[in-house]
Amino acid sequence: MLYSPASRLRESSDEADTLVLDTRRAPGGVHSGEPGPPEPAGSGDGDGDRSRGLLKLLSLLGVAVICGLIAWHVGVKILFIRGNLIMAGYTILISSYVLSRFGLAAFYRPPADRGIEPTVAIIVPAYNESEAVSRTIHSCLALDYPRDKIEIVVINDGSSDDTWERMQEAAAQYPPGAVRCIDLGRNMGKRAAMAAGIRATSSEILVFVDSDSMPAQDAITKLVQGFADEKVGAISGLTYVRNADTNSLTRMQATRYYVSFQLLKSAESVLGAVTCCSGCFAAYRRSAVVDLLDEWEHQRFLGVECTYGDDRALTNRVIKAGWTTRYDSRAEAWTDAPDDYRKFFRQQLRWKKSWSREGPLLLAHIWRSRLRALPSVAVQTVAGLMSPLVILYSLAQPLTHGRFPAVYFVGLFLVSCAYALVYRMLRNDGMWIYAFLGTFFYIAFSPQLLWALARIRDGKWGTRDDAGTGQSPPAPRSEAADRTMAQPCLAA
Amino acid sequence: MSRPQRPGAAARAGAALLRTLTALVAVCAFGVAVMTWIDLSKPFDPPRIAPLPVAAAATTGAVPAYPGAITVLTYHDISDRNPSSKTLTRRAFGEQMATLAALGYQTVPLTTVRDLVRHKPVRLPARPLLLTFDDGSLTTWTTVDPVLERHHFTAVAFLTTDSLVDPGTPSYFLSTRQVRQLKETGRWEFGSHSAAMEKLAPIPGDVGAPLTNRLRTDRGDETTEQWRSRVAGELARSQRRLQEMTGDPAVAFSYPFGDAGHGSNIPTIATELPGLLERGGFDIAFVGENVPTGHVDAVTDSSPRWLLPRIGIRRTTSVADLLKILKESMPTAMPSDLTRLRWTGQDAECLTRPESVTVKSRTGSYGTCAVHGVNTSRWLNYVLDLKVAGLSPRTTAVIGVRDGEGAGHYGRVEVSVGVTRMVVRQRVHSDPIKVLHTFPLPSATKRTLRLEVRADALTVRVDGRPAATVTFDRRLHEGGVTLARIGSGAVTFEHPTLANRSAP
Repeated sequence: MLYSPASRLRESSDEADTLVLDTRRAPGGVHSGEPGPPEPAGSGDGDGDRSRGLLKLLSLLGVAVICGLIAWHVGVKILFIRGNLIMAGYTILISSYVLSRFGLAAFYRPPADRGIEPTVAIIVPAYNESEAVSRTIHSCLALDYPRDKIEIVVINDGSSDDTWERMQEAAAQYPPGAVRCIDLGRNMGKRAAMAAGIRATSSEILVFVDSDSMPAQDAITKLVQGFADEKVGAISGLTYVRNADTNSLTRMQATRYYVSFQLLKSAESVLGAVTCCSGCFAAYRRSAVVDLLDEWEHQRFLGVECTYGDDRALTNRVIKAGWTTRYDSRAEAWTDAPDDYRKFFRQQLRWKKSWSREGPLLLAHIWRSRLRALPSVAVQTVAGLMSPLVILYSLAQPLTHGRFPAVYFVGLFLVSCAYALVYRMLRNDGMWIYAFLGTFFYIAFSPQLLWALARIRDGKWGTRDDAGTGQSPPAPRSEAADRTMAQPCLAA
Repeated sequence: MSRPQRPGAAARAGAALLRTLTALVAVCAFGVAVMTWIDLSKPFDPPRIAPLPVAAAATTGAVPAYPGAITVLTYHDISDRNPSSKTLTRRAFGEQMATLAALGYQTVPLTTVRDLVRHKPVRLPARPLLLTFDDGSLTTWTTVDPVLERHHFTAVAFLTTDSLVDPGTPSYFLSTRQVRQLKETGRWEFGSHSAAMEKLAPIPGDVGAPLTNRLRTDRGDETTEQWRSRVAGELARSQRRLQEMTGDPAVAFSYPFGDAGHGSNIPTIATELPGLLERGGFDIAFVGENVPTGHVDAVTDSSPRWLLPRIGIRRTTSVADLLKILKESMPTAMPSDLTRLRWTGQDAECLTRPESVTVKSRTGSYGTCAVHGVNTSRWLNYVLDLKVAGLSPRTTAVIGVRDGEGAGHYGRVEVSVGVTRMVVRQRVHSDPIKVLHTFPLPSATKRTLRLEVRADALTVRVDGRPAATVTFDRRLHEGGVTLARIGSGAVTFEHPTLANRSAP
């Protein structure tokens, strides 16, 4: 049903009989600081193959059963529509949306390998990343791509630490010209840094890599293949969470990233409109971006210059200009997720703000730019905006009406099961339970959307902690990570 | 974040166990969620329109029609999953509706019933029917209504108004919006089944229906005055709710438990309740929530409007049962030649010939022949002519009139004719037999008799001469004829003929 590249399956299957989580997937690891390709995965030993295959089949069956049950529920609801029409309508819409994700994802195929090798510019904006930046530079240079067709640009966005020195240090290890370092001189924001990178290069394809992201060795080769189709303007890669092992929070995020990419982005890709080609690892066609560069760089919303949601805003404009956007599950990268709840909370707030800004903007033009994505974008936007009210209403019901909103919670439970089963089907690393728990965890955060809407004009990133507190220098890497890891774009 | 090199065997076994347990718990939780979801997704049964059962089709026309008599049926909820005795399965209900439709029953609105019992002129179809559904169950909306639509039937829902829920609330009962939607179909009228008196409540020394009993409360037993204000308040609340929902005041009430207060712990309640109902804005009230254990009549213009009879239908009522009850509830037109009827004997053998009925002793000294399965509720004023043969000093003939067997009361007026005298007696319920009149006769073994019943008086003529006029108990206001004999030997009743003396 869901496309699962053999390489990834092989990679994860060998960990089955130990509960040790797969850290080799994160090249370099958190502490090693050394760039390196993912170790070749050990091939599954024949013994467990059959039972593993059986488990995958059972998981698939479970997903099919859940989808069938939800479809049946929707059918009954429509045939015998009754009771509260608003709630019934919401149930029908949201269930159909979830079902359509599974259905569309089943038809997802990554772009075919055409063997093309266009010129590629890798653009790495960096802000106070003294530690991570050199690692990122090393991993970019270790990429398996013809040296003469790749240009790497690292932009220092007015860092207050020694990022600039570290950048130059790392670049000096390579032949002159292999890595270009640009210093904006003062802090101008991530958008300005990205735009500067775009202007400083001339390659056909622009690949954005966050300063804490690490693409796999073959990621660029894979990622550019989709551009063989002239209509494709942007392609998102698959981003894993590198620090998944840190705690339950990062585990939940890791599973969430994975399911979101494999289910939601796959489904969107089938419709030809991936609504967010994430900043941590995505490629854009220069000709698609260049015309709207100024407009994007100086986007204003409700009278305020936009400082967050750069990648979603850029993808949005690319779609508006009539380009197709796709997702390539073979092009893999690793990024860091926030490992404490405070940072996670702020990151979620920022994503929700950018989603509430860009969602309606997308809805405003999607009927012209890509009609077949309209139903899904419409439901996603409307139901997404309703979801905080629905969850608050559902939680209030036992108090106000004296009854438990069983349909809502059992439905949520089943959807969580489906996510966990999808995760278990594609990856065997013992983390499926976090895919299950994570769904509830993320839903619990949805009322935050109300706060996000209230503060939508507030351009602060909210994670800088106002260095004025004058305490010991905050861990620069993680702080910056929090900032740059802006948009893996996991829809609300 | 140091990574263990290679876990030991024990650790690996522990991990495997943990993994198995987690998987087991997950599978169980998944199973429970699936079952719950299935239950949640089908909160009601879709309607089932049954084809006409063969047995019922064969008996089409077997139920007699009687002008001016409306058949009233009581149902509750219709569900395959509720095992309650009040609940019919969808199939059984569908079959019953199909049967009624095939028999040519046509539903009438509540106002027709009201006008009929208030002696106003009404136009009735050949086989008028009133379907009533008590309690206001959700299935009224989900299951009943589509079946009614199919057969072009209308119905009355008697709602326990406090049980109705807000729109969107999963419940056994209807929501207010569903009530409005039913109203909009034009198929439904609504009556009150009280506001919240559908549950038995503690009464002094027992539990009983709260509508018709003084309750036992924390502060002692209710007084009659408290009962009165409680019932009046509840009737007003129910009426108000119905009016809010449907826009019209409800005219009809159905007694919870079908109890109109005749077994109440205050004797006056039964007489007082109609007044309270009338003040609550109701015009008519129905009993008959339960399945009939004795006689039940169709509603006619002589039915008491605060005690309108209904036929309760239960899970155990088959289509054949329904047809039998329908037939027995329908008044039978008075025949003129009684030898045409099928006489059956109790402690007697009944020989029916074209001109006579002979009652022969079988065992005891008292044997009766009666006609069963004939509804005599409309046999009011009539003249019975017959000749009695076979009298002897040891053999007396007994002719019963206003016999309650087919009319729903226990009793009759008996004329006992011997060789030398005649006695008129009445039997009412379990009261002692009362001799109303004794009259000497000239000795004869054969006599010509004429019995004329009119209102509560009986006039007997023997051999053409007026013999006696007696008045009897008012409770014997209708009923048929029985033929009996006392002693040994056989008595033959020749040419028994009836003539109707009721106003048309």
